[in-house]
Amino acid sequence: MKNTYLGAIAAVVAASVLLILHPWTDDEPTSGQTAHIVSNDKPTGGHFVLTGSNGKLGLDDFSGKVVLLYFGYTTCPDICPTNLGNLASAMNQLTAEEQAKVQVLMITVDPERDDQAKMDAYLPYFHPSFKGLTGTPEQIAKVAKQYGAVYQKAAIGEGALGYSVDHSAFTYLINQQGVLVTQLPHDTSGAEFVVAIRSLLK
Amino acid sequence: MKLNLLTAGLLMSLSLVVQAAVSDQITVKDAFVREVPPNQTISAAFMTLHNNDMSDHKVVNATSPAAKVVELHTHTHENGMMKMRQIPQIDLPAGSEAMLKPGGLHIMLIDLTAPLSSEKMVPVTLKFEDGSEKTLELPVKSVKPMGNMGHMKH
Repeated sequence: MKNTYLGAIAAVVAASVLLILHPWTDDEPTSGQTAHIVSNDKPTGGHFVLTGSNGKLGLDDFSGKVVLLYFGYTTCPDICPTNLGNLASAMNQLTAEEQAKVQVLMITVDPERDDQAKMDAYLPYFHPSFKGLTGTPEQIAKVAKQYGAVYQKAAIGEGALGYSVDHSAFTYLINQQGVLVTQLPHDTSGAEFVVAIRSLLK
Repeated sequence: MKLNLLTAGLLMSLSLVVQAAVSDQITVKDAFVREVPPNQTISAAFMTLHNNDMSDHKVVNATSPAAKVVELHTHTHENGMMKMRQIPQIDLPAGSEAMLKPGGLHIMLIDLTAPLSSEKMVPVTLKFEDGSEKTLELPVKSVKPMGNMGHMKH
């Protein structure tokens, strides 16, 4: 009897270890409409052109700068403001000289509600240098795929918010040559962003 | 019969003890409402709730004159995505703390009735499962402090 229990415990432990080792694998989407599942493949990143305040805006426009790229939306109630706040805190810890070599970009994952005017009112609140990009749903989906960002619309209970957008919350760190270096998880602190940025500015 | 009377008496005295309002058993600290960008009509309130009682309690509702709709929400991390969902209650386990913080449990303020200002406190009323209430005056705090104050990892 005891052995059966021990066996069961061992099996559970083994299963947990497997889950921990493969946090990114998920073959069973919880909802039928899930089209974007995080894959094990390292995202390639790379060039993109979307729309900014003054028309076309792409990664090449920031060549020579360290770019921190984030996918979010302006009615994002909590996750985006937290991350953008941490990025702003990082900017404020950099010297003016360093700040000039860093660009924070947010691409909307809610192009239906986020037009350029909304993006332009939203991003500078966090830091005057932050820029927002919009595009057609297809254009945005393409860039998200390049970077391994995932998102889907979600009804939230009987909520008054209409819908929210579930989304991955990584910040993509791109070097001065436009190459994706790494992705930083949600809840990365301002100080941690500073370390990551300075590692590329050296 | 005697026994029944005795039982009734015991129950009555017990219920007297239980009748202490849940709101009196809960202490709140580090409460604030997040300042929002211009034109934003939603914000969130965060706080730490400590249940000093020996029984479990819960927050079942929240209201505020600062927003047309107030909802209890949480975040889960699934399929690599942060998912926000409305929840019916916030559990306050006996003798322990429930932390409402960015990225986790929070009280959503939807359709703000006026822009939030750091000079004005925001009243938020929490309602507990016994109907008792606790009204708090929350300061409005910016999420983008200079330096890394308030963003230290614990």
